Amino acid sequence: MYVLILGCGTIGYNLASELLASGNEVLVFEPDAARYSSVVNSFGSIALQADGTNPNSLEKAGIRRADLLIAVTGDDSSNLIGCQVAKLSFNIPKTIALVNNPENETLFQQLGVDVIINHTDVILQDLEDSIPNAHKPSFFEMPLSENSQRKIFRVHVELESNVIGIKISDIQLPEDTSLLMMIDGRGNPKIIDANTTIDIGDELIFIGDEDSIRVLNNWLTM
Amino acid sequence: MNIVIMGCNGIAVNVAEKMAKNDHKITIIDVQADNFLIIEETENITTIIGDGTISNELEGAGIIESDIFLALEPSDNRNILAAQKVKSLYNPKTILCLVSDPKKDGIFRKLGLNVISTTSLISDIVLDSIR
Repeated sequence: MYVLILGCGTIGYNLASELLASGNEVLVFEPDAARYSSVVNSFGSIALQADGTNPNSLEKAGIRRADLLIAVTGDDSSNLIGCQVAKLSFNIPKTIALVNNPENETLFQQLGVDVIINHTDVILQDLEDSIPNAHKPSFFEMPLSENSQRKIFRVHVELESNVIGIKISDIQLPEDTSLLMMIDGRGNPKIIDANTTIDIGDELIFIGDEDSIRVLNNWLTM
Repeated sequence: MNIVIMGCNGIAVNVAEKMAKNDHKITIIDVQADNFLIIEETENITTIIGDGTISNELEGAGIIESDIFLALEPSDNRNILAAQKVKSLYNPKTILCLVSDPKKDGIFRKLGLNVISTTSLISDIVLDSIR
Protein backbone atom coordinates (compact mmCIF):
# COMPACT_ATOMS: atom_id res chain seq x y z
CA MET A 1 0.00 0.00 0.00
CA TYR A 2 1.03 3.59 -0.52
CA VAL A 3 0.07 5.57 2.58
CA LEU A 4 0.21 9.33 3.14
CA ILE A 5 0.44 10.50 6.74
CA LEU A 6 -0.34 14.08 7.77
CA GLY A 7 1.42 15.12 10.94
CA CYS A 8 4.35 13.53 12.65
CA GLY A 9 3.82 13.71 16.39
CA THR A 10 4.02 10.54 18.47
CA ILE A 11 1.17 8.91 16.58
CA GLY A 12 2.35 9.83 13.10
CA TYR A 13 5.92 8.82 13.82
CA ASN A 14 5.02 5.38 15.16
CA LEU A 15 2.47 4.75 12.43
CA ALA A 16 5.12 5.54 9.83
CA SER A 17 7.56 3.23 11.54
CA GLU A 18 4.99 0.42 11.68
CA LEU A 19 3.74 0.78 8.16
CA LEU A 20 7.27 0.84 6.79
CA ALA A 21 8.20 -2.24 8.80
CA SER A 22 5.27 -4.13 7.34
CA GLY A 23 6.43 -3.35 3.82
CA ASN A 24 4.28 -0.39 2.87
CA GLU A 25 5.34 2.73 1.07
CA VAL A 26 4.91 5.77 3.30
CA LEU A 27 5.12 9.52 2.87
CA VAL A 28 4.84 11.86 5.83
CA PHE A 29 3.88 15.55 5.64
CA GLU A 30 5.27 17.62 8.50
CA PRO A 31 5.71 21.42 8.24
CA ASP A 32 7.59 21.64 11.57
CA ALA A 33 11.37 21.53 10.97
CA ALA A 34 12.31 19.60 14.11
CA ARG A 35 9.69 16.89 13.64
CA TYR A 36 10.47 16.69 9.94
CA SER A 37 14.17 16.09 10.68
CA SER A 38 13.38 13.41 13.24
CA VAL A 39 11.50 11.41 10.60
CA VAL A 40 14.17 11.86 7.96
CA ASN A 41 16.93 10.94 10.41
CA SER A 42 15.12 7.78 11.45
CA PHE A 43 13.67 6.51 8.19
CA GLY A 44 15.42 8.33 5.35
CA SER A 45 13.73 10.56 2.82
CA ILE A 46 10.13 9.54 3.35
CA ALA A 47 8.95 12.97 4.48
CA LEU A 48 8.09 16.33 2.97
CA GLN A 49 8.40 19.49 5.01
CA ALA A 50 5.12 20.77 3.65
CA ASP A 51 1.47 21.34 4.40
CA GLY A 52 -0.34 18.11 3.63
CA THR A 53 -3.67 19.86 3.14
CA ASN A 54 -2.32 21.75 0.14
CA PRO A 55 -3.61 20.18 -3.11
CA ASN A 56 -0.39 20.94 -4.98
CA SER A 57 1.81 19.31 -2.34
CA LEU A 58 -0.47 16.28 -2.28
CA GLU A 59 -0.33 15.98 -6.05
CA LYS A 60 3.47 16.17 -6.06
CA ALA A 61 3.53 13.49 -3.37
CA GLY A 62 1.74 11.18 -5.79
CA ILE A 63 -1.62 11.12 -4.05
CA ARG A 64 -3.23 9.84 -7.26
CA ARG A 65 -1.66 6.45 -6.69
CA ALA A 66 -2.08 6.47 -2.90
CA ASP A 67 -4.39 3.95 -1.19
CA LEU A 68 -4.86 5.67 2.12
CA LEU A 69 -4.46 9.04 3.81
CA ILE A 70 -4.13 9.20 7.60
CA ALA A 71 -4.44 12.68 9.15
CA VAL A 72 -3.10 12.71 12.71
CA THR A 73 -2.09 16.32 13.35
CA GLY A 74 -3.05 18.10 16.57
CA ASP A 75 -5.27 20.44 14.59
CA ASP A 76 -8.77 19.25 13.68
CA SER A 77 -9.15 21.69 10.81
CA SER A 78 -6.02 20.31 9.11
CA ASN A 79 -7.14 16.72 9.72
CA LEU A 80 -10.58 17.34 8.23
CA ILE A 81 -9.54 19.49 5.29
CA GLY A 82 -6.66 17.11 4.45
CA CYS A 83 -9.13 14.22 4.19
CA GLN A 84 -11.67 16.28 2.24
CA VAL A 85 -9.11 17.49 -0.28
CA ALA A 86 -7.84 13.92 -0.74
CA LYS A 87 -11.39 12.62 -1.30
CA LEU A 88 -12.96 15.41 -3.29
CA SER A 89 -10.04 16.35 -5.45
CA PHE A 90 -8.13 13.09 -5.82
CA ASN A 91 -10.70 10.37 -5.06
CA ILE A 92 -8.42 8.58 -2.65
CA PRO A 93 -9.97 5.20 -1.67
CA LYS A 94 -9.77 5.70 2.08
CA THR A 95 -9.21 8.43 4.67
CA ILE A 96 -8.60 8.14 8.41
CA ALA A 97 -8.60 11.17 10.72
CA LEU A 98 -7.80 11.83 14.35
CA VAL A 99 -10.40 13.95 16.12
CA ASN A 100 -8.85 16.11 18.85
CA ASN A 101 -12.07 17.82 19.88
CA PRO A 102 -14.88 15.23 20.31
CA GLU A 103 -17.55 17.68 19.13
CA ASN A 104 -16.07 17.41 15.64
CA GLU A 105 -16.68 13.67 15.29
CA THR A 106 -20.19 13.95 13.79
CA LEU A 107 -19.06 16.68 11.44
CA PHE A 108 -16.14 14.56 10.22
CA GLN A 109 -18.56 11.68 9.60
CA GLN A 110 -21.01 13.87 7.70
CA LEU A 111 -18.23 15.35 5.63
CA GLY A 112 -16.94 12.04 4.38
CA VAL A 113 -14.00 10.96 6.55
CA ASP A 114 -14.05 7.13 6.40
CA VAL A 115 -12.59 6.21 9.78
CA ILE A 116 -12.46 8.51 12.78
CA ILE A 117 -10.17 7.98 15.73
CA ASN A 118 -11.44 9.68 18.84
CA HIS A 119 -9.27 9.76 21.99
CA THR A 120 -12.29 10.36 24.16
CA ASP A 121 -14.20 7.33 22.89
CA VAL A 122 -11.33 5.09 23.79
CA ILE A 123 -11.43 6.39 27.34
CA LEU A 124 -15.23 6.33 27.67
CA GLN A 125 -15.41 2.77 26.51
CA ASP A 126 -12.93 1.97 29.18
CA LEU A 127 -15.02 3.59 31.88
CA GLU A 128 -17.91 1.36 30.94
CA ASP A 129 -15.69 -1.66 31.03
CA SER A 130 -14.27 -0.85 34.45
CA ILE A 131 -17.67 -1.05 36.12
CA PRO A 132 -17.68 -4.11 38.51
CA ASN A 133 -17.57 -7.69 37.27
CA ALA A 134 -15.25 -6.47 34.59
CA HIS A 135 -12.04 -8.03 35.81
CA LYS A 136 -11.61 -8.95 32.21
CA PRO A 137 -9.28 -6.49 30.57
CA SER A 138 -11.11 -3.67 28.92
CA PHE A 139 -10.43 -3.82 25.30
CA PHE A 140 -10.59 -1.81 22.17
CA GLU A 141 -9.32 -2.72 18.77
CA MET A 142 -9.61 -1.38 15.27
CA PRO A 143 -8.35 -3.04 12.10
CA LEU A 144 -5.90 -0.86 10.18
CA SER A 145 -7.84 -1.53 7.01
CA GLU A 146 -10.59 -3.94 6.01
CA ASN A 147 -8.34 -6.79 4.95
CA SER A 148 -5.44 -6.13 7.25
CA GLN A 149 -4.41 -8.56 9.99
CA ARG A 150 -2.88 -5.64 11.84
CA LYS A 151 -4.87 -3.68 14.34
CA ILE A 152 -4.65 -0.67 16.57
CA PHE A 153 -5.52 -1.81 20.07
CA ARG A 154 -5.68 -0.48 23.57
CA VAL A 155 -4.77 -2.02 26.90
CA HIS A 156 -5.90 -0.54 30.19
CA VAL A 157 -3.65 -0.92 33.22
CA GLU A 158 -5.79 -2.03 36.15
CA LEU A 159 -5.25 -1.72 39.85
CA GLU A 160 -3.97 -5.28 40.28
CA SER A 161 -1.64 -5.24 37.35
CA ASN A 162 1.92 -6.26 38.19
CA VAL A 163 3.43 -3.98 35.55
CA ILE A 164 2.64 -0.85 37.55
CA GLY A 165 5.78 1.15 38.15
CA ILE A 166 7.92 -0.52 35.49
CA LYS A 167 9.54 1.49 32.75
CA ILE A 168 8.20 1.54 29.23
CA SER A 169 11.69 0.78 27.96
CA ASP A 170 11.54 -2.53 29.86
CA ILE A 171 8.51 -3.84 28.01
CA GLN A 172 9.51 -6.56 25.60
CA LEU A 173 7.27 -5.95 22.65
CA PRO A 174 6.37 -8.91 20.45
CA GLU A 175 7.77 -8.74 16.94
CA ASP A 176 6.17 -6.15 14.65
CA THR A 177 4.40 -4.43 17.51
CA SER A 178 4.84 -0.84 18.67
CA LEU A 179 3.50 1.45 21.30
CA LEU A 180 1.71 4.38 19.64
CA MET A 181 0.46 6.41 22.54
CA MET A 182 -0.06 6.49 26.30
CA ILE A 183 -2.92 8.23 28.05
CA ASP A 184 -3.01 8.68 31.81
CA GLY A 185 -5.98 8.01 34.11
CA ARG A 186 -7.24 11.56 33.66
CA GLY A 187 -7.30 11.26 29.90
CA ASN A 188 -4.20 13.30 29.15
CA PRO A 189 -1.53 12.03 26.76
CA LYS A 190 1.75 10.97 28.43
CA ILE A 191 5.06 11.74 26.83
CA ILE A 192 6.80 8.49 26.01
CA ASP A 193 10.53 8.29 26.63
CA ALA A 194 12.98 5.88 28.23
CA ASN A 195 11.98 6.95 31.75
CA THR A 196 8.21 6.81 31.35
CA THR A 197 6.69 4.40 33.86
CA ILE A 198 3.38 2.58 33.75
CA ASP A 199 0.85 3.81 36.31
CA ILE A 200 -2.58 2.64 37.45
CA GLY A 201 -5.27 3.73 35.03
CA ASP A 202 -2.93 4.25 32.08
CA GLU A 203 -4.09 3.44 28.59
CA LEU A 204 -1.49 1.97 26.29
CA ILE A 205 -2.30 2.04 22.61
CA PHE A 206 -0.43 -0.36 20.37
CA ILE A 207 -0.33 -1.44 16.78
CA GLY A 208 0.22 -5.11 16.02
CA ASP A 209 -1.41 -8.35 14.90
CA GLU A 210 -3.79 -10.73 16.70
CA ASP A 211 -0.98 -12.67 18.37
CA SER A 212 0.77 -9.66 19.74
CA ILE A 213 -2.54 -8.35 21.04
CA ARG A 214 -3.03 -11.56 23.01
CA VAL A 215 0.51 -11.65 24.36
CA LEU A 216 0.57 -8.01 25.45
CA ASN A 217 -2.90 -8.09 26.86
CA ASN A 218 -2.14 -11.13 29.02
CA TRP A 219 1.08 -9.70 30.22
CA LEU A 220 -0.10 -6.18 30.96
CA THR A 221 -3.27 -7.15 32.75
CA MET A 222 -1.84 -10.02 34.81
CA MET B 1 -29.22 42.02 10.72
CA ASN B 2 -26.93 40.12 13.04
CA ILE B 3 -23.50 39.35 11.70
CA VAL B 4 -20.89 37.08 13.26
CA ILE B 5 -17.33 37.44 11.97
CA MET B 6 -14.56 34.97 12.84
CA GLY B 7 -11.13 36.59 12.68
CA CYS B 8 -10.43 40.26 13.33
CA ASN B 9 -8.39 41.53 10.38
CA GLY B 10 -8.56 44.46 7.96
CA ILE B 11 -11.46 43.00 5.98
CA ALA B 12 -13.42 42.25 9.15
CA VAL B 13 -12.90 45.78 10.47
CA ASN B 14 -13.86 47.40 7.18
CA VAL B 15 -17.02 45.31 6.80
CA ALA B 16 -17.94 45.75 10.47
CA GLU B 17 -17.55 49.53 10.47
CA LYS B 18 -19.60 49.96 7.29
CA MET B 19 -22.37 47.60 8.41
CA ALA B 20 -22.48 49.14 11.89
CA LYS B 21 -23.30 52.54 10.38
CA ASN B 22 -26.44 51.00 8.85
CA ASP B 23 -27.46 49.76 12.28
CA HIS B 24 -26.56 46.12 11.80
CA LYS B 25 -25.19 44.28 14.85
CA ILE B 26 -21.74 42.82 14.45
CA THR B 27 -19.92 40.38 16.75
CA ILE B 28 -16.31 39.57 15.99
CA ILE B 29 -14.77 36.43 17.52
CA ASP B 30 -11.00 35.91 17.50
CA VAL B 31 -8.65 33.63 19.44
CA GLN B 32 -6.05 36.37 19.89
CA ALA B 33 -6.94 39.35 22.02
CA ASP B 34 -4.22 41.44 20.33
CA ASN B 35 -6.06 41.23 17.03
CA PHE B 36 -8.77 43.44 18.50
CA LEU B 37 -6.35 46.37 18.83
CA ILE B 38 -7.29 47.50 15.31
CA ILE B 39 -11.00 47.86 16.07
CA GLU B 40 -13.04 50.01 18.42
CA GLU B 41 -16.05 48.51 20.18
CA THR B 42 -19.15 50.61 19.62
CA GLU B 43 -22.83 50.17 20.29
CA ASN B 44 -23.12 47.92 17.24
CA ILE B 45 -19.75 46.20 17.32
CA THR B 46 -18.95 43.60 20.00
CA THR B 47 -15.70 41.66 20.29
CA ILE B 48 -15.34 38.24 21.93
CA ILE B 49 -12.14 36.32 22.57
CA GLY B 50 -12.80 32.74 21.54
CA ASP B 51 -12.29 29.97 19.01
CA GLY B 52 -14.77 30.27 16.13
CA THR B 53 -14.32 26.62 15.15
CA ILE B 54 -15.88 25.46 18.44
CA SER B 55 -19.68 25.47 18.64
CA ASN B 56 -19.99 26.62 22.28
CA GLU B 57 -17.88 29.64 21.55
CA LEU B 58 -19.76 30.41 18.33
CA GLU B 59 -22.96 30.29 20.34
CA GLY B 60 -21.45 32.72 22.83
CA ALA B 61 -20.90 35.04 19.88
CA GLY B 62 -24.58 34.77 18.96
CA ILE B 63 -24.39 32.40 15.98
CA ILE B 64 -27.90 31.05 16.68
CA GLU B 65 -29.55 34.44 16.08
CA SER B 66 -27.23 35.44 13.25
CA ASP B 67 -28.14 36.15 9.63
CA ILE B 68 -24.62 36.23 8.26
CA PHE B 69 -21.44 34.35 9.18
CA LEU B 70 -18.07 35.38 7.79
CA ALA B 71 -14.95 33.21 8.29
CA LEU B 72 -12.02 35.56 7.74
CA GLU B 73 -9.09 34.07 9.69
CA PRO B 74 -5.67 33.74 8.00
CA SER B 75 -5.90 29.92 8.01
CA ASP B 76 -7.86 28.46 5.08
CA ASN B 77 -8.40 25.22 6.96
CA ARG B 78 -9.89 26.87 10.03
CA ASN B 79 -12.17 28.99 7.85
CA ILE B 80 -13.38 25.94 5.92
CA LEU B 81 -13.94 23.94 9.12
CA ALA B 82 -15.88 26.80 10.73
CA ALA B 83 -17.98 27.47 7.63
CA GLN B 84 -18.89 23.79 7.26
CA LYS B 85 -19.71 23.52 10.95
CA VAL B 86 -21.92 26.62 10.90
CA LYS B 87 -23.61 25.36 7.75
CA SER B 88 -24.41 22.00 9.31
CA LEU B 89 -25.43 23.18 12.80
CA TYR B 90 -26.95 26.65 12.45
CA ASN B 91 -28.90 28.56 9.85
CA PRO B 92 -27.56 31.96 8.93
CA LYS B 93 -28.81 32.95 5.46
CA THR B 94 -25.35 33.74 4.23
CA ILE B 95 -22.07 32.04 5.02
CA LEU B 96 -18.88 33.35 3.46
CA CYS B 97 -15.49 31.75 3.82
CA LEU B 98 -12.14 33.31 2.99
CA VAL B 99 -9.77 30.87 1.24
CA SER B 100 -6.45 32.01 -0.13
CA ASP B 101 -5.34 28.78 -1.86
CA PRO B 102 -7.04 28.86 -5.29
CA LYS B 103 -7.02 25.05 -5.58
CA LYS B 104 -8.86 24.63 -2.29
CA ASP B 105 -11.15 27.44 -3.33
CA GLY B 106 -12.35 25.32 -6.28
CA ILE B 107 -12.75 22.13 -4.26
CA PHE B 108 -14.91 23.68 -1.55
CA ARG B 109 -16.92 25.83 -3.94
CA LYS B 110 -18.06 22.58 -5.59
CA LEU B 111 -19.18 21.40 -2.16
CA GLY B 112 -21.54 24.38 -1.97
CA LEU B 113 -19.56 26.73 0.25
CA ASN B 114 -19.56 30.42 -0.61
CA VAL B 115 -15.86 30.94 -0.97
CA ILE B 116 -14.13 34.31 -1.32
CA SER B 117 -10.66 33.99 -2.73
CA THR B 118 -8.51 37.10 -2.41
CA THR B 119 -5.74 35.34 -4.31
CA SER B 120 -7.97 34.76 -7.34
CA LEU B 121 -9.44 38.26 -7.14
CA ILE B 122 -6.04 39.93 -7.06
CA SER B 123 -4.58 37.64 -9.73
CA ASP B 124 -7.51 38.50 -11.99
CA ILE B 125 -6.87 42.21 -11.51
CA VAL B 126 -3.18 41.76 -12.23
CA LEU B 127 -3.86 39.64 -15.33
CA ASP B 128 -6.44 42.16 -16.59
CA SER B 129 -4.07 45.05 -16.19
CA ILE B 130 -1.20 43.43 -18.08
CA ARG B 131 -3.32 42.10 -20.90
